[in-house]
Amino acid sequence: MNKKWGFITLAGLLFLGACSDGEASTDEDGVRTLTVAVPPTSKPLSWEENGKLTGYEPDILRLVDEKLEDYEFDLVGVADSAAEIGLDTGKYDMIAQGLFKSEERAEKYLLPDENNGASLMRIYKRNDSDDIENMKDLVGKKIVPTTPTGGVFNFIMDWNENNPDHEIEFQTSDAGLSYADRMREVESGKYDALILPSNLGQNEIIESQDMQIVTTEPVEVFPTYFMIYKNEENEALRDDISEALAELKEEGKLSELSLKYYGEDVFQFTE
Amino acid sequence: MFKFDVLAEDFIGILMVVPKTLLLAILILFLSTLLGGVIALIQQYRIPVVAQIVKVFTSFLRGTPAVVLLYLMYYALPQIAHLLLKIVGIEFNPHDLNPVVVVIVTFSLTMSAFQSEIIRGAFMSVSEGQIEAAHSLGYNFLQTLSRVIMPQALMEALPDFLNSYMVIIKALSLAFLITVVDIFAQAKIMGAMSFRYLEAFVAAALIYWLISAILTALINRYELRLRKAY
Repeated sequence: MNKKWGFITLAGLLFLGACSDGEASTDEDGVRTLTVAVPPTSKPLSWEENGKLTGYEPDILRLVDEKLEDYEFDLVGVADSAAEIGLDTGKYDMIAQGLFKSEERAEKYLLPDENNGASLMRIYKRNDSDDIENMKDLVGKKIVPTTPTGGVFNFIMDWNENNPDHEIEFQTSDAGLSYADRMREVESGKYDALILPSNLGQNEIIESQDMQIVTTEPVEVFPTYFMIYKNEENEALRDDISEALAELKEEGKLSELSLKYYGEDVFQFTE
Repeated sequence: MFKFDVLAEDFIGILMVVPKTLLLAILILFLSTLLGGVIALIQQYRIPVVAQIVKVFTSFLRGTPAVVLLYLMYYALPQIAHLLLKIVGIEFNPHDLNPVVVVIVTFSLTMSAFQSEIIRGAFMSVSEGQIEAAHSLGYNFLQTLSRVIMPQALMEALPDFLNSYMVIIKALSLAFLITVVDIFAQAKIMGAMSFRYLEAFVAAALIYWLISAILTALINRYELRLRKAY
């Protein structure tokens, strides 16, 4: 019983601590300043360079900021789970972390109608493995172990549940070995394939290390969204952002940024 | 917010890998004690050159975190095995080396440095007078070792060996870095299945504690029996 009360007290203290932090402020001109959390070390999605946040998400946020006259975005670098917890408590008004829509998230936060990017699940293989083109081809192949806490684990588990005839065998492991080493293990023949979202900067690694690794067409596409703190006031903000994103898509600006940071237009897969 | 049915489910799920973890740990304890014994003997008799090499070797092992060695071994051991087997004429694909072997070799090596100190200390605790008395009664070297030194040294070393065993069991949680599933790794997998990590980690903590409590009780009784003989 004591343990339970300890938890409740701790949770309460954390909650109070979070509440006392900055809420959105409005200055005399009616311009509302919003705190937006982006990842600080996830190149090319968003990273900090010379004290400035740059990358795909910050660039889009700046473009959206330009379109919205009533709002001012204040970008802060916060890593994944901390950002989502901060959004839960209202510490941040919005987070842009390349997150995809889930039932739980759609219920907890406000999501714009328009996605602002996409996470493309791809298979990385040796350039002579012509027999691997999609998930079905992975049956009986050696797959690089995946961490049980990651999205790839859930993706393969879902695949196996929905495709019992093409069940993929795979091992789990703790996160620790870098993607570069994992791709090297595919290159050397230890494994046949690596399943990974393609927005983690792998192309840069393959190019700079001159690896004999090629990728397949996306085996799954997860559109990614901004997540906005849920309250009545922010509903208008969500609609404004949806509109701004739709315009930016129309103008081809988002595709431009996607090309700049990922070397390909991810929006061709989400239309 | 804390679900006890999930905890029970995780507890049973984790119990499944307990035998494997304990077996792996006992194997590592055995190998590291063997190697530690050899190291202790070399240092005791100050065998020239070898003693110096062993000194550097143990100081390296004692000063390097197990996780660093595990990474090094993960890359190096398959190549070493490949080279060694090639010399004796066996073709071996380095990719086929089982990660369990990497774990056993790595932890046996790290623990051997500590085991050698325990063994050395235990042997030193047997007083010179006892050995002299044995010699005066006409015992030869092996008889002195097996009938006088070993029984007393073992009594001294037993609690430390149990300690080492627990250290190994806990250190094995690092093995999941290279896909070997132990108690804690199973907890992570169970947590990922149910999306409830707190329950899984509590279950893992309870199991670790249970193992240590049972082992301590068993060893205590065994030690008492040994001591009674004197």
